[in-house]
Amino acid sequence: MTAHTVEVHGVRHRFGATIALDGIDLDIGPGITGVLGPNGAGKTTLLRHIATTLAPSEGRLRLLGHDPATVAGRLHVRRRLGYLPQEPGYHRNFTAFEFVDYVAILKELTDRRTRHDEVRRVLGLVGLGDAGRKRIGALSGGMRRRVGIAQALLAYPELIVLDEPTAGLDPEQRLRFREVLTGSAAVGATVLLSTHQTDDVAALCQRVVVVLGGVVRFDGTPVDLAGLAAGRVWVASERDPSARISWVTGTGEVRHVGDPPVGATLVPATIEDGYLQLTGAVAAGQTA
Amino acid sequence: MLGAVADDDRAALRELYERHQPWLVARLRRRCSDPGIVAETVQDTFVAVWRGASSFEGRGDVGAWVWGIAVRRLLGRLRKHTWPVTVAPSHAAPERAEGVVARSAEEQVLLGVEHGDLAGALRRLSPELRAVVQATVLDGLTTKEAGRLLGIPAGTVKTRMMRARVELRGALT
Amino acid sequence: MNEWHVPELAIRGYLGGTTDQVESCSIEAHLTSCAACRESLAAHGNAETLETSWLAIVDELDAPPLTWLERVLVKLGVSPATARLVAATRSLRLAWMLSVAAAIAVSVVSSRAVGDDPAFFLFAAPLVPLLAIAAAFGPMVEPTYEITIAAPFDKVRLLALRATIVLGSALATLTVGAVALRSLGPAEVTWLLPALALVAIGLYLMTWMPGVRAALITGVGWCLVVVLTTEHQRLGAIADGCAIFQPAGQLAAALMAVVALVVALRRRGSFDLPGLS
Repeated sequence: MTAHTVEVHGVRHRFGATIALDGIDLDIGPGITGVLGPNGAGKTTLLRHIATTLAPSEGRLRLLGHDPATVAGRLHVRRRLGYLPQEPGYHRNFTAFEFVDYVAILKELTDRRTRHDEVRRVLGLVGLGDAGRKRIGALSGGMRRRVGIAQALLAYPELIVLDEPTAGLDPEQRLRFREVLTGSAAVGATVLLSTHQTDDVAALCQRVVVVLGGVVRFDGTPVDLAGLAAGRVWVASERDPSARISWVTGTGEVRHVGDPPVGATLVPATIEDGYLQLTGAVAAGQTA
Repeated sequence: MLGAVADDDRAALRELYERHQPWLVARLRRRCSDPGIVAETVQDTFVAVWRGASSFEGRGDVGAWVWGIAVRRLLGRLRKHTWPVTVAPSHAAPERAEGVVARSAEEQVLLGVEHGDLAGALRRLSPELRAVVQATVLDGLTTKEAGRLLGIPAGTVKTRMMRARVELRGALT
Repeated sequence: MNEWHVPELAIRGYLGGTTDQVESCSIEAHLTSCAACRESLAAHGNAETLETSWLAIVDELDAPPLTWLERVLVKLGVSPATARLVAATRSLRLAWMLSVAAAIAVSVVSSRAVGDDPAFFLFAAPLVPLLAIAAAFGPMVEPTYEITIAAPFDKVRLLALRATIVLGSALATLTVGAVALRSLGPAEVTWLLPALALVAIGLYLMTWMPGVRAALITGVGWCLVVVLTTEHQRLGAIADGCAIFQPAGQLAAALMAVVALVVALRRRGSFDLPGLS
């Protein structure tokens, strides 16, 4: 029997007349799993179910061996959960330290000194050790995001759910973030993160799930995802209308995904190519 | 460096701490036998240094300034705990101690004297008088604070200080 | 000044407590102004103690300063961690100020009524506690609502603690206002049961929807009930004309309060997981 820390069975979710999730089945074990999908595809709704902040309209979940539909089950899960919502909301009058400290109290770290040490540790992990005394209101978007990541790492959670953690991070901070997550996964945590950044998935995730229109459209390794577009990516100097998607790259060439014409210069497919092949998104136009 | 501390530089505070913590502990231990209180006092002191670094006037010794904070924190702690205090009742003269606290002209006389002579004169003082000289001149306490440290009324501190001055002046001239 | 330094032996003696008092004082006076001697004394120090003590200082520097409301709570016996959770946020202070301001406004406006008629007070006072609980906690007033829900801390407890603070201050203000600004009459008591009923109904609705919306619905409902149960020609004289403030109406309000509280308690799980049906 494999140890699945997150089990999602037939989960549907309706917000009024809108169907956000339309029957999701997923079993996830320790390690880092990425969730890709366009805005509005249901990523956030799925993550909120796994973070116990939303109850499914239909279906059931099992998290860390507990049933989040019960009060006791939720409590067990929440004690071992770290969660960064898409829009966490901050008490802007708090300093970064005060904010993370506040969340630490919510996470039942009552002893002051232990709690403060833990707050310093997580702020250090995201490289905010010195910025802890700055007011949240005065922090840049990227720094605020890091404060959000820091609070999700409090008390060594076994289940870490991060909704677009890398939004607003600069490349250096993203590298640091990857290291931190890899470290958490190395000690056996289950990490789920949603992102728009396919290179995050390539660098971090053992597994990637693509959610489209409220259902899982792909579930496999990043290499498999790239493989979807294998032999279907070519570059040319002119835009080829027969391609499913094409976009002008930084070098001025046009990159195409679709059925290549005879004699096209085929190039290795990336995860992004695979993802675009899957989503069939409208051409990105002139933007590189 | 205090300027850097005033500018929110923790590394600067750390350096200041490394320089001053050892002697502060040693000196406080001679005024309070409880290591716990001494440790807390030192912590209080550096927290106060951090918060009040900008109020350092820049004249006189940093050491004297830090000590001024520490000895008052110790007094505050002692008032809270009412622990038995061991006061080393003695004193020799500081070679130089401007910046410890504003002094009267007569006290300046004490401070200006040669180290050796004064030590001799102090040795001849009775322990109670020496304790008063130590608390006011060396530790830089006010009459009231000295009284609290020594557990005697402020008036007694005043009269003993007067007697000490007379005796010292007699011994030195 | 720095030509002479305390000999190593004397430093050891000083640290070991074997120098006599006059010598010690001499050394101390010198140390105050001599960095070199301070350094040689430091060489005898214990690195571990130095570090432990430093960490304690850092922790003290990092420790968030207590707000006055937290201090009051800690004095009342609330644990410092809980006090922080309950009272430190700006949203709570806003809720608190809002409800106290509303209580003052109601008191002042009703004190200006012609002939000391308690009509306005009776109508408006029960709305103040309703406002207080709506402002205390919920998705529209708590910025970190989503994180709070996903945390193990008991949400019902958090709501109860915050509501107690906000509600308590509002009630105290209303009472003081009534005593100070108006002549006392039965009106000072008859608004309490309807207020309790409104709070209970508001709480019940909060298990289905955000608190602000729940309070709005309850408040509008209250206005309708007051108008409908008042004899038409006596709208200005609610105290005598409105059935709610007569014994039968009071009994009905009490019953409503109990029923709403019971159903709200049965659905308290939805404070823990919104949208739970």
